[in-house]
Amino acid sequence: MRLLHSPVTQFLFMGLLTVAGIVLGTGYLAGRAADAEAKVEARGATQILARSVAQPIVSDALIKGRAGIMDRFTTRVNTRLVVGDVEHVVIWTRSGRVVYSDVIALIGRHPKLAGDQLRVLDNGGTGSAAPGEAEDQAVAKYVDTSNLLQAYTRIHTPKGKALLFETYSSLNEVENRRQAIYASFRWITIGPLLLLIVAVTLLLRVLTGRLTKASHERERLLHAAIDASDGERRRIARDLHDGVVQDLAGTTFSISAMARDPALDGGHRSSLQSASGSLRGSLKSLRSLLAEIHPPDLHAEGLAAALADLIAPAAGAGIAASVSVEGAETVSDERAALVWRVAQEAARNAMRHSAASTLAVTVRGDGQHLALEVVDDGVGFEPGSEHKSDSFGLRGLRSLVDEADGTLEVRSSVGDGTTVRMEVDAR
Amino acid sequence: MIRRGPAVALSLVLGAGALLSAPGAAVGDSGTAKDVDPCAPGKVKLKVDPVNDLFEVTGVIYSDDDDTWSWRFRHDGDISYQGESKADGDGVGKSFRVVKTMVNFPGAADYIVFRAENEHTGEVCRAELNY
Repeated sequence: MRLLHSPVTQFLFMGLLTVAGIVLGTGYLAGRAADAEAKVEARGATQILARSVAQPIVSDALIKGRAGIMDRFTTRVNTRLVVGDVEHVVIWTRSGRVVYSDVIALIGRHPKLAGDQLRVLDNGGTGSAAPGEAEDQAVAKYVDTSNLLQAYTRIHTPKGKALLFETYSSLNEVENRRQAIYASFRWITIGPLLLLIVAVTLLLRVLTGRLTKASHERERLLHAAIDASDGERRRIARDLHDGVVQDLAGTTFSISAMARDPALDGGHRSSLQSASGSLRGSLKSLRSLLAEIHPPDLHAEGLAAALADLIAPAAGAGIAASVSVEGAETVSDERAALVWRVAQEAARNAMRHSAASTLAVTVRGDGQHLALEVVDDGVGFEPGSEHKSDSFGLRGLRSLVDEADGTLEVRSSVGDGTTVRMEVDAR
Repeated sequence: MIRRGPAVALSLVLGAGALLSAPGAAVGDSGTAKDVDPCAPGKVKLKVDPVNDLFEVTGVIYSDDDDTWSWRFRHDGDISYQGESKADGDGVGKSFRVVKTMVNFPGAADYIVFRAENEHTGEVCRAELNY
């Protein structure tokens, strides 16, 4: 399957398909050229035979059907007319009577002449018909003419009576000519194409190799950059957590304790409680920010809590958010991290753009498969019109999911909210 | 004085009788015919072999001489071929053979005659057959 997606394979396939098309095309054209040439040659040969052989020996007595004349004519026909590709000869009067034919059964019969035959008989010149399309079907009743080329011209008896001289020639020579024409073009047309395909395939293979190598290098650099960024974010998050967050938590605790002092009057107590609540809110936001700056080292058992931290800011945006995780106890750390990242991107989009009132993050696992759904009831969007930055985010998600051999589906329409669903192997 | 009228009449009658009593060509379905008169027995032979729509016709004269013979083939009464030949070989058994092609017309039987005449002696040999 991977082979089919290879550009080299696709190029080879298309190239060979093109060559096959050219072979068939040139064969067809060569055949047509050979047929046309064969007709011209058959007409020319018939005219030569008529003038140089038939006309000098044809006599008015032949028209009368005298046996002796027929015998002598037959001898001459067999030795001088029915030779080479010419397989049959027919001589007609204008009334359509067969004066002579090597197909003896035809002699004396009155099959009718066709229009073009009469034209040639009246006006001279030559005519021809392709195999199976003979102008008259007289000969076809007695011999197989399906592979014979018909050609005819006019001759005269010594007394000037016009007769139609007709030959039926074998197509063997036509086929030989077709092969000759085709053979002369075959390697001229196919050879360079095949060489071009081979050369381009090699070139393509080299270029593909370079691209793959460059892609691997870029990927390595990207991973390095990500790792560096990750390390930096981790350091910032750790510093914030160990410094500001701890200080803020201690301060919140102290202020809360002070607010509970019975010696304080109501006004001060209320101010302190308000300050304590504000600090707790800030602390919560700060933790969410920390989770976003650097995700916690995720494990299956901590996935639900991490997702809860992820959607904590939703409440501040007036969105009723919920998290439900079931059957994900045995998933690997990599899969837990993947679920968290996809959920992070989907939830972030929902909170930023959806104007949703509810947001539900659901994770379901059965030991073999793991499914994540992030559903909001927001304004949705037309598929294909995602905001560019979100589009990049989704593209990044797809890349991540593809690497894990999973599927990512985004369903949305205007006014119907958005569902992001990911399915991946649990291990 | 001899009266010529009865003599002529007698000659005609005798001549006609001689012609009528002369044995004709032996005609058979085998395609081979021999004439015995006025040739010596077996001196002339006519053979017809059908080949597709044609006949291959063979006329043979066992002449045993070096004389020139003029010969002709007739087909349904029409002269098809004619020519002159001399026998090949030495002494007894000298002969000549003429092979020609004729059209085998469909329908009625073809009537074929081979006739040869010794130009030196005037001897005539003739064979015929219907095929």
